[in-house]
Amino acid sequence: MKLKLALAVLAGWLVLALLAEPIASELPIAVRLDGTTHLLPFWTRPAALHGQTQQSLANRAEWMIGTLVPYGPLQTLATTGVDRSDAPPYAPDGRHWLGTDEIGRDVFARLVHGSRMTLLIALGVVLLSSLLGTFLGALAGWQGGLVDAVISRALELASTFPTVFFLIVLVAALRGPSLLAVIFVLGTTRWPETARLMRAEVLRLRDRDFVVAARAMGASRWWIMRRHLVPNAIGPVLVSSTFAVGSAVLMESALSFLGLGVVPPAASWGELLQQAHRSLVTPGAWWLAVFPGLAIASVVLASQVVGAALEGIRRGASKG
Amino acid sequence: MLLVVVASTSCSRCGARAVPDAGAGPDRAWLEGRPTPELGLVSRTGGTLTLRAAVEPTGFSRIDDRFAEGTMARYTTGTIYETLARVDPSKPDGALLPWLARSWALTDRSLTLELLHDVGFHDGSAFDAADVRATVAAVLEAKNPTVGLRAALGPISEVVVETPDRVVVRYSRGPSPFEVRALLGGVPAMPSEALAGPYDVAPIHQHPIGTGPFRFVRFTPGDRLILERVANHRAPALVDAIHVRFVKDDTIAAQLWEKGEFDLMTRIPPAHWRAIEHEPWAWKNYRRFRIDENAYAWIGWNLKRPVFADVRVRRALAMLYPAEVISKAVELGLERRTTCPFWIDSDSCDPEVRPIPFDPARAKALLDEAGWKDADGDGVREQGGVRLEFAFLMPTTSARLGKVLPLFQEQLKNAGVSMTMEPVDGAQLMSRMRAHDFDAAALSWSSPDALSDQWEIFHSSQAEGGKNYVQYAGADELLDRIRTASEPAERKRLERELHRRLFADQPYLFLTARPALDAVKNRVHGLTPSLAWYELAKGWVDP
Amino acid sequence: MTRRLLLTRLGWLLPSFLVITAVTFAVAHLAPGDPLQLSEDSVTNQAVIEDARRQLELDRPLLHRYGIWLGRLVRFDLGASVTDRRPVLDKIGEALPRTVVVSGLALLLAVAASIALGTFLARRTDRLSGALSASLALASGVPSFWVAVLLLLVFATPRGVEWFPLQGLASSPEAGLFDRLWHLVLPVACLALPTTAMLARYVREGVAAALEQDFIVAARSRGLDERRLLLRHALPNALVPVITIVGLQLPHVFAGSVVIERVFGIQGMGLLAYESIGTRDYPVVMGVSVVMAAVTLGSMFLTDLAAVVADPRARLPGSDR
Repeated sequence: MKLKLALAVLAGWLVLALLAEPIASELPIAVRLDGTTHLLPFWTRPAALHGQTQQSLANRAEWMIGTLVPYGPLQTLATTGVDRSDAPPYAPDGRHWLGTDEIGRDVFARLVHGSRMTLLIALGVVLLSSLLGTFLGALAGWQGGLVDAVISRALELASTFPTVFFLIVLVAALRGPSLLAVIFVLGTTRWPETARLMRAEVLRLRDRDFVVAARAMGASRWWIMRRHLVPNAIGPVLVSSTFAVGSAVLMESALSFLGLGVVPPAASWGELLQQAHRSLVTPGAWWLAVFPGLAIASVVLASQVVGAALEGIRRGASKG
Repeated sequence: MLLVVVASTSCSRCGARAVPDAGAGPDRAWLEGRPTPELGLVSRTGGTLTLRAAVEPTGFSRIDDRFAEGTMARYTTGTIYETLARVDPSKPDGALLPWLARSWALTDRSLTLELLHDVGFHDGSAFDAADVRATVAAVLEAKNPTVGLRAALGPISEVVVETPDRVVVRYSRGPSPFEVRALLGGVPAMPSEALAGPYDVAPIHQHPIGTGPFRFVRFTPGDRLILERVANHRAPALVDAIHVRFVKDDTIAAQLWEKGEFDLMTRIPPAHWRAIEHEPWAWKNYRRFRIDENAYAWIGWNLKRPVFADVRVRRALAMLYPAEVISKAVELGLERRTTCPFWIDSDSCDPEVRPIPFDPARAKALLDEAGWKDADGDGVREQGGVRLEFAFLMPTTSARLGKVLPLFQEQLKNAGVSMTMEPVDGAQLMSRMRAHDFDAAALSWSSPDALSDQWEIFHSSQAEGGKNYVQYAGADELLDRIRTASEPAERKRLERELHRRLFADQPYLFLTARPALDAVKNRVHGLTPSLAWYELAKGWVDP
Repeated sequence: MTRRLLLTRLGWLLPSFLVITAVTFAVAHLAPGDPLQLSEDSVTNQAVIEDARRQLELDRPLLHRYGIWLGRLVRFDLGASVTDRRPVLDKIGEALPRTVVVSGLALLLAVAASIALGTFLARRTDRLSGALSASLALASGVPSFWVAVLLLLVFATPRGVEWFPLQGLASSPEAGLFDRLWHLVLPVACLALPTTAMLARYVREGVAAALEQDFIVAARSRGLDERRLLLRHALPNALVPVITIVGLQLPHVFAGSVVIERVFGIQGMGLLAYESIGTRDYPVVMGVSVVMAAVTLGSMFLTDLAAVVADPRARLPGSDR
């Protein structure tokens, strides 16, 4: 995958995540009802439109500008106006371009809104793990000795130990899944990467002249770290963070697949895959498997390509 | 209506399978899972009956809590052990039929049982009154893990052996009909020698010895339980052996079933039940049974929470439950709506009571009337500073609730009620419900017998440490009277009143009666479905 | 890597093991939920539950229970499961072989395939190798459980071709070898894919780098056989990172993948861990974590050892890193 394509993919998902509502929502972009015009009601949530959907407004409104996909991610077959005698999930057709899930919710809508959840979690995980990793790595590099030995050992263990087991235990300990729990749990398993890089940087720079001089002048180690060491180490940390985005998305979808991810009925790509697995034989809902998987794969691959490119730039810069 | 469903489901799978030729298809009875009478057939002996069980037992005992399996006991120990009386398959909620007890008589505080002669255990020893006393004593012994049955038996003060064929059970107060029924139908005949040693490690728990038409041969964990016909039994079975194969995963079980591995396939998942309506191998080789068990699913409102205090709110919530949509999308049209805590086909249910229909407009009006209005326009009603919101406890392992709850939540949201889902894993669900640490939760109650004592579930004394998770206290006196009603007609009248009271008070939102979905090979005969399950001893195989 | 360093690593093993198990113990036991109250069928009487809790020693303080558990562990007694009273060793003894067979075969397949692919790609630059490289890059990014679901959809359900079974490792306990191998095809292929993609890249880089070295070019110009060059000089260089990665993957071979096992219905270690955590079956959870800790630490140590053995520069006694 080329770099431009990868950046476009990531930017695309970011845009979709931000503009999820104008793309797919149960409320329209604009509507005139009973003499009042409502603009972007999915964000303003006016009281007059409570409980209304684009389907129910279609006849009552004077005019309406609909969203690209006229369904919201939480809209089930009860309100989408689909009246079929067979049971969902429904295959892709003219009304639901990517089909529906097991209770009639539009897959396209859930994909788009799911991207918001996924990217939010990925961002949170990357932030948390970067902070944790930077702190611990810098500490290990600076202090040396026993502190370094313990942290390094923990680092090695944490990167080799099968994380999924620990993830499940942690989620259970936090009284069940929730958004914060997922971010916390995933963040605490990603820190070794960043810590290792940070530690290497600190070790490299610790004995340089300007650092020694700063210490001689009485500067505290935290100040030195903040002022000199961390900015220098940002490069590798950024590279590692980009890879971490892909890995976080993978882990989050694995958790959601197990039912331990986001709280229902929130849309998540992993949750769609869980439904796909449930309906493998009857009715063989391939649309529930193909599209979310493509979404996940695209984000993961894109982040890998961008990360590799950043790595190349960093290496090129440090050579010069 | 069902045929319409069938006709349209067949197209959602177009392209996957060849459409079966018209005219050669399942008939109405097959589609509905109704048993058709088998007339003019001559039974034969011999052969093996293989059936599928979903849950594997850890022990084989009908009295022990550790191995309590509920309805599963039917196919593990149901043919090994016999009880004093048994359920009448044609009238499961009626009087019990004699079995090991030829007759019994209940006076004010004592139950006299006349036992059958010439009944032997599988180990050769004879069955007599001493065995009954030993078994009851084992159940009543406080140190033994037999609390479930002990509580059901009631206040037995002593068991007296008058003659080898006569036992008198004395109670410290007049027993309720449920307690008598538990004794007659729930206590198996176990040899007194087997119960003589230390109870906890008695080998009889892993190697049961009873008086039934089948004897225990071998249990291989992860594989099967093998039972063998007792040749010189007073009412011998027809097949030579029964193999109970334990297959937990429904998908694997479905694959094995399609290969023909099970003569009796139990617990067919609803989606699969519907799917096989297009499979010729299914309707050509199997009969299907859809039996309404004494089991129902319910949603419980924790009545001590302020939002649920007003019965009008609870009624409104019931009106917002989208029963038809759920029936179509989740239950696939296989479950009957119920409002009754008793077996749906019993006389204890008042037929005049109809389920509250889905009516969002009326629900909104009712909530307005109860004073819950959305003053601040945020979409959620409030009253006196309290928002009309609650959390629904949802086990992470329940795919069904994962589908039902978002459908319910959508309707609630449109009416201004905010429901959030709280996923918890299996180990948390029950402990939180027992501790009343929940707002709303869904469970189902089931009983292998047609009669169930609602006292345990709805009496206020059962709120602490019992099954009254929702802390209901509106029918205490009625429940007490049901327990002491000795005459069946009077009891049924009171039970109908209980049904009406529960409907009026709505501590539960009663959902549906859970059916058992089974299928039997055409060449297997003699298995008639009923609430008392199948009498496996009557089954025979046509080679 | 010197002998001294190896000894230091050995010294760290026991404390690391204790820390892992202690942390797992603490987190698992502090998680809310009660293993004795799993279903509504279970007895409601509070006294019975309390009694069982006393019997299973679940009412003692945390540290005390950890001590008891450690004491039993030293005697290789992992206790009995809370849910079905079966010995934990039995349950692990059933689950572990299933996981190891699937993951082990997948790893072997991945190593073999990556060596073949890597060397093939290192020597060619035509369109086929370009396409293969691109596919490998793609394969490293797709989630394995997605591939698993897709494979099942295509190869095991009525919608696609039904060449392979849908679930499980065998049709029945008496199934023969062929039946079991047939069940293994899809899970093994699924697990091998991401590892192959990753390893192939390393092999290709290693072989390509080795082939560019001066003495190789010189040897080639002297007419030495290409294949001998590959096998004797290029491959060993490429194998060092492979060994490291295989070492890193070993714990996963034993731990299994919860998601893959769930998708294919394999009752292995991953699923055992998932179910026992959900039901708070503490003895089983701890048993699984012991196995995983032991394998993780063991494989880390073995990897270090193998690196010493494989890298001739490290063999010199007393030499420093």
